[in-house]
Amino acid sequence: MDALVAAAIHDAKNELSALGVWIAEAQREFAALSPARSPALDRAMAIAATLSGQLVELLALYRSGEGSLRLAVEDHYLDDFLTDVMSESHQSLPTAEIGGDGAKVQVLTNFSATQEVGTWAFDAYLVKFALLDALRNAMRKARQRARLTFAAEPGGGIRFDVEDDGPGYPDDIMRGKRETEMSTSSSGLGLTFAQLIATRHATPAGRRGQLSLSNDGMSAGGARFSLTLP
Amino acid sequence: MDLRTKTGLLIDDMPEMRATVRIQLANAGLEKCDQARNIKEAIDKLSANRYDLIVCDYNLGYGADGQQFLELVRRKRLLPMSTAFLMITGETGYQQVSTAAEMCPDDYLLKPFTADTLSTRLQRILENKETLKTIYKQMGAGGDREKALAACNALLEQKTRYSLEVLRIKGEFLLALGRPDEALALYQEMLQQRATPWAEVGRALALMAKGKDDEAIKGLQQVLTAYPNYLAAYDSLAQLLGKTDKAAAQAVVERALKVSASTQRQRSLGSLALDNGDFGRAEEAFRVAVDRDRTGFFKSHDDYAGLARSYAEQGKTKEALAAAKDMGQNFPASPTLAARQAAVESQIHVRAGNRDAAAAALAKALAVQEKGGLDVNTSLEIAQACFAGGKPDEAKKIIQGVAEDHHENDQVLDRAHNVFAAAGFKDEGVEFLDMTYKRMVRLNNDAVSLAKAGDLDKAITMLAEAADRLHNNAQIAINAAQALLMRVQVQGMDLGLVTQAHRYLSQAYQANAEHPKLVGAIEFYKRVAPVQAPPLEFSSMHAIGP
Repeated sequence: MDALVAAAIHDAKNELSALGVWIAEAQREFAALSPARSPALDRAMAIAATLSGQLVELLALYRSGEGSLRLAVEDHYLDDFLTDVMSESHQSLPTAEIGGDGAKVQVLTNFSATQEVGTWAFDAYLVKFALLDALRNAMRKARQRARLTFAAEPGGGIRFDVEDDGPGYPDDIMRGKRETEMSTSSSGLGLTFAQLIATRHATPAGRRGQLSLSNDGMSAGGARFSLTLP
Repeated sequence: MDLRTKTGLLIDDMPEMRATVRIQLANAGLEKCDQARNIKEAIDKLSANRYDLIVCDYNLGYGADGQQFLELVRRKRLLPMSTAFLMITGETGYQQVSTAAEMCPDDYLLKPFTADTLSTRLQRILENKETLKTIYKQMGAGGDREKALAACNALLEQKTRYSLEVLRIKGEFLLALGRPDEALALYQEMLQQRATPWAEVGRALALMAKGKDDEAIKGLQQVLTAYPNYLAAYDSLAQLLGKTDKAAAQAVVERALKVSASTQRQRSLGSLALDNGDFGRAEEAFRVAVDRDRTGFFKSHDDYAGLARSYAEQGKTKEALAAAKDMGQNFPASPTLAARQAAVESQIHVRAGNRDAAAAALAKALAVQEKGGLDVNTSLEIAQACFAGGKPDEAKKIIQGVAEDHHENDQVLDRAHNVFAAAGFKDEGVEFLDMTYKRMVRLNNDAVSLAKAGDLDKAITMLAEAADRLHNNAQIAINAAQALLMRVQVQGMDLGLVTQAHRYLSQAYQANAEHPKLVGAIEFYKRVAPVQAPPLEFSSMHAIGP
């Protein structure tokens, strides 16, 4: 039965990819008729991308349970990686997302530390999904602004922070029993996935990645999602 | 970078996918782009043309994948390092591609992707190729490793954004040049800054080159706990363990197969299982190797020979003979194939007690062997059949020829050891091969001493005799050529001797284009040879990795 579920998820993911291709095609047809893009199609595209990301996460969690999740850890240029993340976020995030203050949410970035660090060894595919999901979440909760920051960790390691100026993580997520709490909250899948991906990154010296959540993000009490990789 | 000036080759077996990617490539500016539907077409195109860029789908159908294709064309020298290689993969393929390390593509792209993403990636890898072109020019056959190293150092001083990539290549060159101490220092400095799998594996290879096998093994085992999918670590670990503990090596290959089941790994599992007497497992592994690859490009005579032996050792004579017959039907007819088949059949018949059939098959194999020109594995198969058929002297003669011809090649010598061991002459084999090795070293040293002492004619006689007999021994051929050129330098021009030197250098190039002494010998030739002497130009040949 479980294998059947995995196969169904896999198929659904492929169907969603196909849907994305058709939406892009529809956007092109629309462009021939009108100088503006179709906001409805942009919206549809973002939903397809969100669903597709969730299925990638589900599949990874399923594989982890089966012992068959395989990370591909290799060097990546951090600036290239973050450029890719942002360009995909433009394609897949609801650009018209309206924040708590009734205005479009502004996404800020600070990647200046990538210049010094240069490259890092990690699974870029899985980490990218974790960050896209966190960004999506931040934009949903933000009043006006969200931010993705890259930093070098003092003791070795790198950190990606996703913050917003919204109300912060609810108490049930902040309280210790993360595993069970996460799985029942609306953003549970993304956080469970991010936690899994973080801890599956390790070094021969035995250091591991981690996910930490806090409410010291932008503005007082905004959520901060910190993904550290060893 | 302007893609309109570049030429590309797109390889994909799915027509719709090919059409889509072709349009995306054209939108990115790459208009001059050939297409190939399968491996055969791709190889034909690569043999006839030179491309700036290859875009290849991971899944190529008929049991073939892009990673195996990449390894194949690099080995066959059809794909110079200056050509960029972008792999398009699904979710599962990318893990196998990105962790192969030794021959990995320049970049990989996960489906689905947009035209923008494709364009960005192409720009990046072409920029990388452009920046590192001074290194790539010196990589592989006809290249000069010293110059490559100098190019690495020059680029490191410029502090480009590709410094890390340059360090990675520099480490490989240092290892290839036999400078493990410097390589080790490079990897350790890298690892002090951060953990990364390629530097961990490099460190282990440097330790291995320094003879510190235990430390290297421990290091690789640690690498695999942190990066359990890093294929290069499995491959190196299996190679190391195989020297002393073939059962442990087999277990490592089993683990690697769970990550990526290439034909190459099935083959090494099969042959380790044969050495370990695990014939059922050997049968399974070779069966997969011959069945899975329906293109025929990745499997070899070895797979059918291994399968036949696995059956024979289990007493399954009928299946063993069928496997030997299959070998003949899956490859184009050649003397090598006929000899291999006959040698395999002879051993099956010995095992089944059919003395006459065994003797007849062995005679057939030996008749081909007499004529010479067989590859290592076929020769050793015949030697093995000789042992099995009660002709140990014939067997030793063949093995001696192979060992003399490849005295610098540890892998060949290891296989020769295995033939002795399988016949029950393990200790005698060690001694025999050790003596053969020492004889070759002495021959080279004596000749060099004679030359230094001024007795060039005697040195030439010794080396020319050996070089005319041992066509695969690059070192002998290089030394023979150098002795001839020295004589010309000392005693005056003799076009006949220069031409003979030319022949030996070409022979050395054929035997091992990457022999560390070859570049120097070629330069010597160019200095000494007059205009009317045959030209020696290898640099136009395709190059492969260090």
